[in-house]
Amino acid sequence: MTVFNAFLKVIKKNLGTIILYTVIVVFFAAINSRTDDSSTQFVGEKPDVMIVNLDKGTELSGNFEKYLTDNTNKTEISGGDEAVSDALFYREISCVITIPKGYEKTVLEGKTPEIEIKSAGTQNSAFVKNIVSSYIRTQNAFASSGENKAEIIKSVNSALSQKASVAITSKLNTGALTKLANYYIFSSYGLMSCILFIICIVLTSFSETTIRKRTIISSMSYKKFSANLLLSCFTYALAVWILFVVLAYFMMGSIVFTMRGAAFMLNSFIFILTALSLSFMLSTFVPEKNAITGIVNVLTLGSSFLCGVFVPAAILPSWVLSIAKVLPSYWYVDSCNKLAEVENLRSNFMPIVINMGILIGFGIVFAVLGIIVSGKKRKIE
Amino acid sequence: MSDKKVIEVKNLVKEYKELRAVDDISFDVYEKEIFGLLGPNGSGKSTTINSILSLLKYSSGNISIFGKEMTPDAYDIKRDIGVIFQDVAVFQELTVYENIDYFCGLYIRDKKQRKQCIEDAIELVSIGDYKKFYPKQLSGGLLRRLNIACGIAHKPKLIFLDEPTVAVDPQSRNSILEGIKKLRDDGATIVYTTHYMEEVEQICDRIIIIDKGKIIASGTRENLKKLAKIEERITVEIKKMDKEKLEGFKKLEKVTDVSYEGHTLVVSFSGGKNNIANMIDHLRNNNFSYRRVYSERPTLNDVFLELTGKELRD
Ligand SMILES: Nc1ncnc2c1ncn2[C@@H]1O[C@H](COP(=O)(O)OP(=O)(O)OP(=O)(O)O)[C@@H](O)[C@H]1O
Ligand SMILES: [Mg+2]
Repeated sequence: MTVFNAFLKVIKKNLGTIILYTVIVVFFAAINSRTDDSSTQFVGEKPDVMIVNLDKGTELSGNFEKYLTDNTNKTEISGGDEAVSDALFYREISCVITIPKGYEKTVLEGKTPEIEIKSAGTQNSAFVKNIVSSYIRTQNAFASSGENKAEIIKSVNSALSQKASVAITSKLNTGALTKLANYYIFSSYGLMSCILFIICIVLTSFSETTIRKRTIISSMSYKKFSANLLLSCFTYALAVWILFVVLAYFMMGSIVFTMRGAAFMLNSFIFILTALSLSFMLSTFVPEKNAITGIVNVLTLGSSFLCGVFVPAAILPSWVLSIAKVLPSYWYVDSCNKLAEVENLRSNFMPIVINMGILIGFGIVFAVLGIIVSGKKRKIE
Repeated sequence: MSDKKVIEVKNLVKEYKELRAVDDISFDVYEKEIFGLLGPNGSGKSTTINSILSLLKYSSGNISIFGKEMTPDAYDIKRDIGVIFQDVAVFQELTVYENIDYFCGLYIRDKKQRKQCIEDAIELVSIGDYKKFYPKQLSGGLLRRLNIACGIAHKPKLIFLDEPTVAVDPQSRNSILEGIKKLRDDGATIVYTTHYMEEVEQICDRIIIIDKGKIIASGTRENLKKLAKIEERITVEIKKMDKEKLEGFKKLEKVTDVSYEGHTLVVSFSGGKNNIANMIDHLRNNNFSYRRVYSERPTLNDVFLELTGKELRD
């Protein structure tokens, strides 16, 4: 209890910082839900979409394009990649859908073609993703049963015309889900800041040479002390996590505790474990306490920008995203986006599990590095 | 002081790569004494203490405390030890009270008992007015006192203090020294390191003097003082002096050394009873205009000077 009490007092001393980060998250989440409310009015209308067909001239791609044109508001953006990227950023369009070269061939071979969808992260784009995946799946079902081109087109069109209303009023509440995903994505900034900042301060205090000497010479065994400290850190991280989940409930209601909501929760729980581990590693590296605020800010802001926490990952240049892959936040954000989009969670859960595995991997690497460095430091005698 | 041994150090050696920081040191510390470890900077005092406490892996030697071998996980021994390290070790985020509470809590779990202990510690070093202050807000002297309170709050039977008065104002220093004497009077055994002569003279019962990792002298302060060649030193403030007149002082009985600097004449005597009377006669007979005259007994500094040929303080 002694260790935990000291821990609590350090937290109390830094409560202002925690509140600040929490307020930032709540504030942005509130803004986020407002913008989405305004766009809800357009849900009934068709989303603005740019379609790029690289397989022009083939019947299957033609039919797909027509289907998309019927269900969306096809828009042309001239002026190259940059203009497209601007249009996405300013939400003039919801998505850019690219039908790849060799689309028809792939379908006829019974394989699933890769449709690239660059989205602006609005709920409209989630709707587009749904109709695309619904088309491709239906088409795939007929193609693999050995039908020829004309038969495929006929079957798909009739199947989809029956399903058209289903796709739109699908069980998936895309609007609320996008909101939830955005909240979880943004809360990663708050979680990371709160955990990194406090844990680093506490751990550097406790491991300061003189204080450590006092701890070692006391009658409490060092093992017990370390276990207490670790448990305290975990309890704190858990409390911060619960705070953010509860806030989510207040802002978004019962969706937080649905199956899908639980998947978001699990994802962010794994994220706090990684953040804990990262704080431990950082605390062994930081040269002095005064540097902590700076280091933590650079880390959290930097990784949040690179990994698409502040701006949707889809509109970031691809080189940024490839850098972001070395950061845990990238995988966390990726899972959130996937969780908001997939229609059938059960059959599409694998990529999310893999992302979680990568997060845990990061956690293990940080912990091992931290142990090595702190071990080296201790040997100076 | 009783004849019960609390610490026994036998042939302690601690080597850093090339340096023998502690070179074959042996000594005993008895119950309820204040044992002084005196030596200049870098002589190996802290290294000796850290080795005794098993905070350092020493190269060879035997150390027992309370009659038992001291090891890193001898928690029953550690329970009765309090250590005040040379560097202040407190949490910047905790107040004075909370700091003492934390360190005391590592030993004493019972809340009520701990509260009493904290109050006692605060009283001992007289920092009652600063309970709610954060370390940042304390002066150097008060910080040192807090550092001591953190080390002794759990009422240890054996207390190590490693230069607790470095860079401390006279008021805090006196408060600290008084506190240490009180701890001894309450039954604790104390090991005290310093490079200040006066402190050792003021509070220590027995002393070892170490230099370059070796014990160069040991005994009670009276024993040690006998090692100094001089017995008395007389200081006189004189406005003017020339070489010839200075030589005149050397002719006085039992004079070993004469020096004059900045209007101050210092004459050392190897013994004799009427030194001061002789001195004043001499001053009158030669028509010196002098102001203050005072006599000092030899200090441990003189002992150190005698033994090593250098001053204890730089
Ligand atoms: N970690 C270390 N590695 C190498 N040499 C060391 C180390 N720690 C201390 N020393 C050396 O050992 C010698 C004794 O140091 P120690 O700190 O014990 O002296 P001290 O008597 O406590 O001095 P001070 O009055 O300055 O505190 C010094 O020469 C010091 O340079
Ligand atoms: Mg020292």
